[in-house]
Amino acid sequence: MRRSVGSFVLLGVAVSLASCSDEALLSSAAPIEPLITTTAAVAPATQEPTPTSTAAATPTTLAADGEPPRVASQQTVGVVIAVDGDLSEIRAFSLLLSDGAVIELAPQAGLLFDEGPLSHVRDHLVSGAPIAVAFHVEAGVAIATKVGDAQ
Amino acid sequence: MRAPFVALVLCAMTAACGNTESATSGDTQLPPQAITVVANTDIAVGEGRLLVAIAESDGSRLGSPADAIAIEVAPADQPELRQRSEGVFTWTIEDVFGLYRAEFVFDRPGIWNVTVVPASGRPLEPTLIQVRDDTVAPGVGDRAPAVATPTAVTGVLEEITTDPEPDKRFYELSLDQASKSGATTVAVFSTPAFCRTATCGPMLDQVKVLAPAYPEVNFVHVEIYSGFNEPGFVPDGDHLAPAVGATGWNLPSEPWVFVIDEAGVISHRFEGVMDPAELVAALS
Repeated sequence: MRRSVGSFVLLGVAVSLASCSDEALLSSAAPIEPLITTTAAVAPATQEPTPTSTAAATPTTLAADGEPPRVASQQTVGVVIAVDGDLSEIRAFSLLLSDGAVIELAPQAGLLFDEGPLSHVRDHLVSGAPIAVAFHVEAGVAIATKVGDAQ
Repeated sequence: MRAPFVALVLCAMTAACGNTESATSGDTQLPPQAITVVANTDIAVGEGRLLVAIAESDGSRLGSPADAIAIEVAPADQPELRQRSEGVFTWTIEDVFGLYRAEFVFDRPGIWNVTVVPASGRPLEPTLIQVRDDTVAPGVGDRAPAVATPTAVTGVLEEITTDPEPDKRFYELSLDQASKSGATTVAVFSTPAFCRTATCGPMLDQVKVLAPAYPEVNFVHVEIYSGFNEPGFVPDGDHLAPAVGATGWNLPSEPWVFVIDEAGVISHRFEGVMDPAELVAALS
């Protein structure tokens, strides 16, 4: 066995976003703006499959004080479709939203899943049970500040 | 800044990836918007067990024992080296939801396609997985790491397990004692109290139900976190139990069940979800 777990953990997920239903599946999903991968990202059918980053576009403008722009806190509900990390650290996870878009979130330091381990997002990957996430956008990265079961 | 998260792969390769034909029996069809979710993480070169969930676009799970599907895998850069296995449906929670499992031989590391092929209708869009050079957690054929775990002999049962209905037999031997005992050992790594909704509790419960049929086998439950009874405890990476972390079994996820043979070598391992029949077969 290999003793290092630092390498990237890929959970493969094929999301046929092009055919995702437009039906509202997440009743409380709030509008999200800058960091969502839309269905337009789907590769053409003749292209070879390659891992595709769904990372959000990074804003290029800076706030007046020179600091990266920060977007006010938002909330959303979605289904976990990918997790990057292990038991010691969840580095990021992806949610499939009601409109077929995908949002990637990096957890803020010390974030728990309700009062449990953040690695619990992986159980939601298995079960498909939606989760609720509060986050803000910092330098183009969605930072999750609260994660829990969706009501 | 955090390293970019490059986990999600979008593969709209219906034509290129989906050169499959229906080979399963029955008339199982899947809605075209269904998505494939690979639910286990520790996949490496060699024999591998794949767990595949099928979901509607709203995340709700599809599939049942009556729905026949096949699962195909192939290196992304050599799709002609395709392997196919029938997916065996496995309840994660009985009669609530489940997923399919299949065994493959991954002969090279890298990115592989995984395609769900229903009995009729079009295959789902493929998904990609990363096949590692070697497993992160101990693999089949590896010697079981000799790590001591709390026992009812050294501690109070309620202080060494979060199982609300613990079976004392699972806490009689330390894991290192069990693996060196000359008997077969079943080790369950899970944390029932901190996995409230899905898989951890059921996995331990499944093993507890089977245990009485195997009086000659050691059964050991290992909690994922230590110090969970202490004030201010937080279930984070700083509180991973020594047996679980990098100095122990180096588990990338939980729950897990390992079967350790009489020589102390791992003979079977099950990540995430396990059908009781799999454990019965492993112990037969």
